[in-house]
Amino acid sequence: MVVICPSRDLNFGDPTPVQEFVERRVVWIELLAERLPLTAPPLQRALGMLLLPEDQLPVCSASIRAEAAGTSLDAEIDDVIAAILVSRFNGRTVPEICAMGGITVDDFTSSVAYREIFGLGHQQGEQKGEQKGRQAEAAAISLRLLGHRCGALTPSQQSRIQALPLSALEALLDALLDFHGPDDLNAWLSRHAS
Amino acid sequence: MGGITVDDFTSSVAYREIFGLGRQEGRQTEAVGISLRLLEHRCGSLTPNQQARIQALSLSALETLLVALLDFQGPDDLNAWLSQHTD
Repeated sequence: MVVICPSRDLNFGDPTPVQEFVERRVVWIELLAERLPLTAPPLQRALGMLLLPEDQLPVCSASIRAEAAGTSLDAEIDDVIAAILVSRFNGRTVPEICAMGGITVDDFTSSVAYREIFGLGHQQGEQKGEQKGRQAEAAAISLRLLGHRCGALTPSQQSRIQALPLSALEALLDALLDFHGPDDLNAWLSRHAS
Repeated sequence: MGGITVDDFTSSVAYREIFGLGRQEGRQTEAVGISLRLLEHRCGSLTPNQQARIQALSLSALETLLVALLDFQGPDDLNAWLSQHTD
């Protein structure tokens, strides 16, 4: 059994009933700086960055990265450091986190963590586009173009347009290229909106 | 102490920054789609070069283009607009 914790001196309850188990079967991985040997593997020391005082992070990060350089960890160590710092520092921006970890924003934006989060946002943005939001986006563009084409719209016209399904909005967007004034819009709406 | 929940993570500033960038890009894709369609109606089919230049526009530039295309009469107007607004 592996226990990862800041220190084994934390209060885990009375050890007496499980003393033999703890002595024989438990591998402790302690992350507090004074418990984490400098000879620990780089990934273990990276975990230690969850607890290390903030002012020591850049030096620690540099030493972990130097140790990983040229090994099989080289490609992923920046990713690990970035993920740990993003998790730990809730209120910090990307550039601040990069500065703490001694990594460039470019390195960070090519990290797996970054690309996964970005992909989620992109997917949601596109889904907004595909479904309700595409309708909202198309309605916003329609209102804007109609304002230029037909003058200011009445609240009633606006709400009728916002209620149109996407396919109708697309037809409207095509049609409005030939509109010359509010009458054309009203005629279109009376044909297409009940 | 080191306990970080998924909620903590997804409410972090960095997460929201990155997520927001992605979402912005998704909306950009939608605006590009509408622009390409209306331009085809207005100016006939677009060359691959024109398409690429439009796909590279920022969201605010796309909105400007969408308004401008109302007055386009053909492909020359699009080319003129693109040469004014892109490098």
